[in-house]
Amino acid sequence: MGFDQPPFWRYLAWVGRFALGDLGTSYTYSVPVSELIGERAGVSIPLALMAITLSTAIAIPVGVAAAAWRGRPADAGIMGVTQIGVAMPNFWLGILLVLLFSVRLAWFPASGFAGWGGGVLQGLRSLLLPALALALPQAAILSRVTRSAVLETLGEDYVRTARAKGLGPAAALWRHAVPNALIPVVTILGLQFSFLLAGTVIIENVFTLPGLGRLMFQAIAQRDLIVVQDLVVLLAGSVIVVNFAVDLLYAALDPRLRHRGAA
Amino acid sequence: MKPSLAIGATLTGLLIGVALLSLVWTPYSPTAIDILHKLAPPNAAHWLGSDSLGRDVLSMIMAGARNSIAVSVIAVAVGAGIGIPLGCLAASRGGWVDQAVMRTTDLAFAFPALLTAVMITALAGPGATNAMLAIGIFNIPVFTRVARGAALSVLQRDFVMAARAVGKTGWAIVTGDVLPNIAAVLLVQMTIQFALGIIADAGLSYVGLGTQPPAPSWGRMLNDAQTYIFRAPLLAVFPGAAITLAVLGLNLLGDGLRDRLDPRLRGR
Repeated sequence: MGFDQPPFWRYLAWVGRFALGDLGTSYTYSVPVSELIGERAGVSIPLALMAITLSTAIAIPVGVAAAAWRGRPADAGIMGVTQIGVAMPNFWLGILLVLLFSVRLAWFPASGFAGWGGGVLQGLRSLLLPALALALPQAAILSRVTRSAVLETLGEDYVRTARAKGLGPAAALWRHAVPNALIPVVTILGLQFSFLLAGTVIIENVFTLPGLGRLMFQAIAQRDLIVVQDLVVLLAGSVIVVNFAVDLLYAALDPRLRHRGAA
Repeated sequence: MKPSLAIGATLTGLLIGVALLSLVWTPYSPTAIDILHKLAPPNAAHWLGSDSLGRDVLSMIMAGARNSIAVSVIAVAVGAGIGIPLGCLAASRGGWVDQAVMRTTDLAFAFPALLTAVMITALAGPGATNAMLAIGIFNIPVFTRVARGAALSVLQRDFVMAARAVGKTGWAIVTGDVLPNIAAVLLVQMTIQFALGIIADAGLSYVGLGTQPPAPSWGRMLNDAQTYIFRAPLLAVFPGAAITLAVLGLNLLGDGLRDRLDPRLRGR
């Protein structure tokens, strides 16, 4: 293991191997860490993607609706519900979803993962409740951001111009106000990704899903430090990659930003 | 007073009141085991029922409030105590000091906070003290950024130039002129981090890394309750409701204070 080498040299050797894709061998499982992580990522990545998709699909219509109904009871109601959503810890929401859908209604499994072997639908079914538990608190934050961003653009001159040239309120909202409000929404979405990763760690424990979060806990409990180290580097790395992707997305969303660098 | 501020202040007052009350009185001892009356539904003797060892749920929630507050308050104190001076230093010195401090906070933000708190408590040993430190460490860059941003805008104001003109320098300006003017922003941030601390503490103790038994904690209660979810579903409801109400109260209080303290947002 090279324990006779100086720490700095061992560190460099580890970085070098990491860069080449050799993550080392797990002390407890005696299999390559890359294999372990690859297997567990098959649960965590679909879970994170489902959660992001659900939260966006819920938050944007809700936020836009609240902005369109500004000051009316519907707006106040939506804002009240989102305020509670922000305050709920996602693992408690997970337990409540289990209470309702698994204990009362018995529609979904209370825990565990069916695996992808039994078909994609079976796998998605066991991920739906955890994904919802992750997505709803995020959606609460995101819809508040969407609402205030849309309110901001609704006050702009170009929206008034669009209305003045005869566009209906719905068309002015969706064609002009919403696309211009997306930048702050995407920023928050990117920031939420790191919360989502951490949330996955706890949610996987609520639903006993064999994902990266559970692997992390098992590795910590068994002092399988090489696995912990690789996981932390990979997760931090993915946060950086997502933030970079968000920066690139700005250019796609706002053509003005595309020319700034070129000019 | 706006309703959100009133509700927030009431809920936060209730939280602190319950925690203080639990120091002198709880209906039962929160650690008293009464195995004959385990998993009882809410009744006259146990208002919120009893858990798998027959402990009184209301007493545990009251005592849990105390632990939750202690962890988050100390985590905020650690974050603010180190973060605010760093942010002020970065703002007032500028140059490479500013660059060094801000790039370090960028680095800290790349690590998902809760995840690293999990790692710190797991490696340093589970327990309330390490949970406080782990959450506190992640409050540092937050306070650094907020303090720096607020201090930068204050440093450009005329009264700071006047202070310089009469010969005040460095820390005298920061403590005498800048801090009083950014205190409101920092206070709002403290309520937000306080709320996040309660959620983080609950998460850590849910996975067994926070406050250790027999000291009651809300996260731990949820974990225990999950085992008996088919027999006593209400056990999983009360501690979560306590967390949500506490966080909701602090968030509303923070929002309300911001609206009140920042004249530009008034009337929005």
